[in-house]
Amino acid sequence: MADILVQDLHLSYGPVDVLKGVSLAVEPGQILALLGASGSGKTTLLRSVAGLETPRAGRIVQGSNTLYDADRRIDLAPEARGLGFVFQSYALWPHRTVNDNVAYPLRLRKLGRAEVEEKVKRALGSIGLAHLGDRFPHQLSGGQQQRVALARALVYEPKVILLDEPLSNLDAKLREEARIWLRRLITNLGLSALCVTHDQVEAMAMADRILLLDQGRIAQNGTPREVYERPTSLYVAEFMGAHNRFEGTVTALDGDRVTLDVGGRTLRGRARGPLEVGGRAVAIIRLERVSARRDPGPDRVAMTLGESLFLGDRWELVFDWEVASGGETRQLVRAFALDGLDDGVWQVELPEQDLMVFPVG
Amino acid sequence: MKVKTLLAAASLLVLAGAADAAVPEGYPASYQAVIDAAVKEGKVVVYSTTDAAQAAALVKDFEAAFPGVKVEYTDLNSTELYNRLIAEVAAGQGTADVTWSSAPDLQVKLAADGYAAAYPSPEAGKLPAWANYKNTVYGATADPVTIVYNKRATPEGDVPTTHDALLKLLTDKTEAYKGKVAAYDPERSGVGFYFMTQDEIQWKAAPELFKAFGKVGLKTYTSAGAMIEKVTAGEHLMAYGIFGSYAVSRNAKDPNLEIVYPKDYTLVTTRAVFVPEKAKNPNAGRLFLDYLLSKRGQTLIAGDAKLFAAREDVDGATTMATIKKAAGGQVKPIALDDKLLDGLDQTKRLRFLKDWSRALKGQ
Amino acid sequence: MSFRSFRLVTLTLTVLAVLAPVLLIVYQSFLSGPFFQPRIHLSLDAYAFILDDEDFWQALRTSVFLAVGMTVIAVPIGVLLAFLVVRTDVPGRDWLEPLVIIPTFMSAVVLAFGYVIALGPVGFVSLAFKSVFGTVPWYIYSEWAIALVAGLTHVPHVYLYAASALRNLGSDIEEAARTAGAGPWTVALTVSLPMVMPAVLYAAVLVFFLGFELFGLPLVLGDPEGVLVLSTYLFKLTNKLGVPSYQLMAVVVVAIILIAVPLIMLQRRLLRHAARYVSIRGKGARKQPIRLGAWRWPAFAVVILWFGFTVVVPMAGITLRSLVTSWGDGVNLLSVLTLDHFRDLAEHGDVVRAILNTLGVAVIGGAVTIAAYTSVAVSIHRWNSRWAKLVDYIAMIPRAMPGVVAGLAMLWIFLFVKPLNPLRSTMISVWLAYSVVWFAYGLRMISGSLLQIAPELEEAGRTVGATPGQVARHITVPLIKGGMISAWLLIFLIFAREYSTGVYLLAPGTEVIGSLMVSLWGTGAIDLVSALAVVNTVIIVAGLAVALRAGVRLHG
Repeated sequence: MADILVQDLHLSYGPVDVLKGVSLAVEPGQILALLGASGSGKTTLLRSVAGLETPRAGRIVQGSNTLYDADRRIDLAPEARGLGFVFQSYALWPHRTVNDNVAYPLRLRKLGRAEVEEKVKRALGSIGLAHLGDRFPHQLSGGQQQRVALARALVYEPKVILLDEPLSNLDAKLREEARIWLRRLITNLGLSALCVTHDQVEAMAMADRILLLDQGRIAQNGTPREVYERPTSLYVAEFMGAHNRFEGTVTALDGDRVTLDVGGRTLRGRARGPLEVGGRAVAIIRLERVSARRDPGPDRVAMTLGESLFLGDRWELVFDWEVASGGETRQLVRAFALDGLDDGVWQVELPEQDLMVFPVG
Repeated sequence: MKVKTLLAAASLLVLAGAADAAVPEGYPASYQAVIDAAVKEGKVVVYSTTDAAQAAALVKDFEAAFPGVKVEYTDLNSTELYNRLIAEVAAGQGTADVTWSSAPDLQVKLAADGYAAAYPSPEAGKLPAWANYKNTVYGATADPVTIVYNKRATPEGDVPTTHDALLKLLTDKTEAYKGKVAAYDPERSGVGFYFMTQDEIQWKAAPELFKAFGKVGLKTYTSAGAMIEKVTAGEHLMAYGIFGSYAVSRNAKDPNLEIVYPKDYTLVTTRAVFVPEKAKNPNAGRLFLDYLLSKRGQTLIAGDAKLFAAREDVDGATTMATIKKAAGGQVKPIALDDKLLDGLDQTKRLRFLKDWSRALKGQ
Repeated sequence: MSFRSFRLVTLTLTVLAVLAPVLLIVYQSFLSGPFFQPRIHLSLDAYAFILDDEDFWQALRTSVFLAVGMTVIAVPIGVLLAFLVVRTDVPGRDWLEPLVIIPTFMSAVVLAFGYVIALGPVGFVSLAFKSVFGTVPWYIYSEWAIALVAGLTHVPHVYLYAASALRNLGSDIEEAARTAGAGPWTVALTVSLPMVMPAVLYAAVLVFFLGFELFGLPLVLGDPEGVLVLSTYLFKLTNKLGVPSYQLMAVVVVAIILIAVPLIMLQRRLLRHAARYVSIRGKGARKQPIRLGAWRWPAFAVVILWFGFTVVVPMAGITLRSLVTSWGDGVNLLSVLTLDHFRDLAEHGDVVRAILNTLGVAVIGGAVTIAAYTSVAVSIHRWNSRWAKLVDYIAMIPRAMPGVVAGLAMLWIFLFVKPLNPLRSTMISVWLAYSVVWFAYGLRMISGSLLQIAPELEEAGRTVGATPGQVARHITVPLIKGGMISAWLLIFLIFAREYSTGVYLLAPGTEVIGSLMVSLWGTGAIDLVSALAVVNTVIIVAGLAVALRAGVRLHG
């Protein structure tokens, strides 16, 4: 049985449809990332599960417990759902100390004084903040606040935790540490989690599954590798990873092998949707799949190195792909490389099996 | 044991009190019943237009004269008093035990509408006839209607001693008195209307005076306080139609404010008192009314309260005799009678106001 | 009690308390006589009479003139003062704010009389001016002068709204303009002002509306020339007929309500508009004041000039009057100095009680009032319902009743609603009347604080298991504690000078300073009135000083 089951959820703000029939399932012990651009409805979906938004139609079930069912007119109040929720801004109550923030859910559950104290101590200890219990939230750093928010959401031992952009307010370095820590914490506690993020790297790093939302609909639902490597639509392909994009016309089709004319240049790739000869298409190739060689070969094109950007752990190379006559004069092709290259003309390889071609229109 | 002693002491005190509150001299013996009933009622609720501070001496003396009857004194303006009384009666919860108002016309109107209880006061015979409306509403004071002027700023020869003289002054020296004369506005003030209509009754040339007011650019007011204040400050030289009681108390503090009791006629108005039909403590109300009209009460009114006594058989600084002396005998008390109701007749009222406003515009 | 029933009870009580007097007056306007008398019937005669009355139209014209004049004067000055105090390095910006709001808390009658003593034809300022220049070029009893005084004394209303809007504006927005090459004044006009425009318009509508309920100023300053406004027209109406005619008074009130309702709707629209501006509130709470440079002292002079004219001049007038036996042309003030008025005041039996009652109703009553307003505000907080909107709308309506009529309506309610009978003639009735009339003002202050709470703080409470009631008690209300204390301070200051609403509820034992002042004014005891006004002002200023010292902020 799934820990969280959402079926065909619809939600509108007045005339604006925000969720247009979303379904998902979070299996026990799984972390599901809700990924999407701003306005895709991912936060609204999360808040609907928490009971902070009221959908128009659909069903939300937790285990054997129906949280929301439009047909049966069930809509449990947020406090009756027993979920954990971590807000993007952490939403720590500024008028309460760290101890009181974490103790509050326990006091609501009418636990004895000693038990509350003990559980708060343990919760704060487990996040390494036992010594800061008497501080007020504004006296803590961002990372500490984030952990207190998490402790507050977990102290009453919910089965499911909902996280709204939990790492977005941390600085870059802290974020990378926090996502490992967070994933480990959730897995160790055996929780199921639903985590909203707009950062694909974070989603891939933390989640067992990714659900990519596009304008209130599910664009793709799969494991991080599936979503990254086998995007089912142009939208998903473009959303994930850094890529080169070429627009052109299909000139030949052979099974899933496609030949594309891009402003007078010819590219070969694999079809990722129904294409037809003469139709418009977009080809996508991730930067790490592009490489520069000395010698000509299959799928290689001569290009001039325009710029080399040093990124620390690697280089980003920008090539100018000149064309002899007709068509667009300039086409930029970017690539990642471990080492910098000399200026000049290079044979840039765009491997056929890595060039994903999607139909447009 | 201790409690018993206290109780005994208390009852002694009550007895002593009762002994004090004997039937006043000249009252029928049956009056003891009124006193006893009033003591039983325990308090008297007074709605009055006379400021609590000014009435404080009266209240204190009444409580001394009738121990066991406490005075609850509320001061209101005459319109508020009227509104409150009729609303309380309509709500059926009883109302004040005594109303005492400087708007005799409204008091007579309330009596005519059945809000006042007829009560032949044992003091009724001692009052002048003009101060008794059907043994129901009584006039407790005799407030002269005066002219006040700023002694420092007004040339001595200009001070008008009669209404005629005032008319002549304003006609002859129109320019000099431009904007320097103040009076109640009969359009906005009930008192002003009441005084000015009485002038018309007493004096044929009154409309001429109103026209003269128009020519000197009369400043009109709704409050006597503001007028007196501005005359003492010299913003105005004189104010027409001022309650003598206000003028006298200011004159005592600032002799620069001088008072004229017009020698052709000095109107006298009264603060009229009655016991409402729906009084909660009617006996205490009667007791208070009788006290106000009694020699003891009137002497205080003529003395500490500076309110001009209505009875002519009392001595003091402010009495009918004071007015008569100052006015050269020409005293015209405005009687408490049905004619006052004419002033409240809407048609007549609007006609007068129209004439007044035309006179002020010089038409 | 569940939050739902709490909300139901609170809002029902609120609607009853607020609408009862208003509906009673509206009902009265359609009757042929006092509603409580037998043999009355429904009638439109009262409307016919009023609409036919030349004086009504004259009063309406004057009211419109004053409302427009006030708005035109108060809005620019209020915005300017707010900008100087909040956003610039004008000298003394820390202590200027409490000064700026003082006129709100002074009784208009006292203020007006202070002007008479200072700037009247023989006022001490006028006489001094005359001795130098030979003539006095102003006349404070004209409509223009009343509009000017009313405008200047209503500056604080605009100030409060503009200042809080400016405070919410991130300084980065202004700094961006400065770095782009704009001078401080250009920034003020082209960046700051447009950003706070919705708040300023809101305040402008408020001031315009307050123009229709002006009473004390036209009563005193309009007296000599017979300048009538709608609220003083009520007196004339009573006098025309000899006895009070409630249906006619009611019609005038209905007319004022009819003017008020579209203004309230306009305000709500502006408020919605203002909410849109909040979203672009810049980051960076640290406010870097704009450097005025050479303009610093001239700017300071503007604030002091306004304060001098609006507070110092009338207050000096009243204080002077309380210390002399007479004043005016040809009086050597030094020779008439006296403390007798204060001595007389101390002997006045009711003064001590009036002061205690005033403090009681202002301090304790004010606290209870704030608790009540907070209950209402919390009830409609984040409640997207027509009922919430309704409460917000009707809150303003009692304000449309001039004090004299509101007082009468309150008397009627306490008389004719049997369960309330025992409360009449107690301070509770006086307190209730004040609370109803100032409801809109207080509700706005509290809901303003509520709006500053980030919604997720409350949502966090719900998700960890708190019911709406628990969230309100444990999170929402504790979070606005500062705002509530500020509101308490403002309500204290207002209740300390209020009286007209309670005038019919007064009984021995329930005198307040305001009512005492009115009855003394009626008997012409202006020396005592002045002394009492000085005492009242001392109490108010002391209250303000104590609160500010204790760390209470004027803005929540």
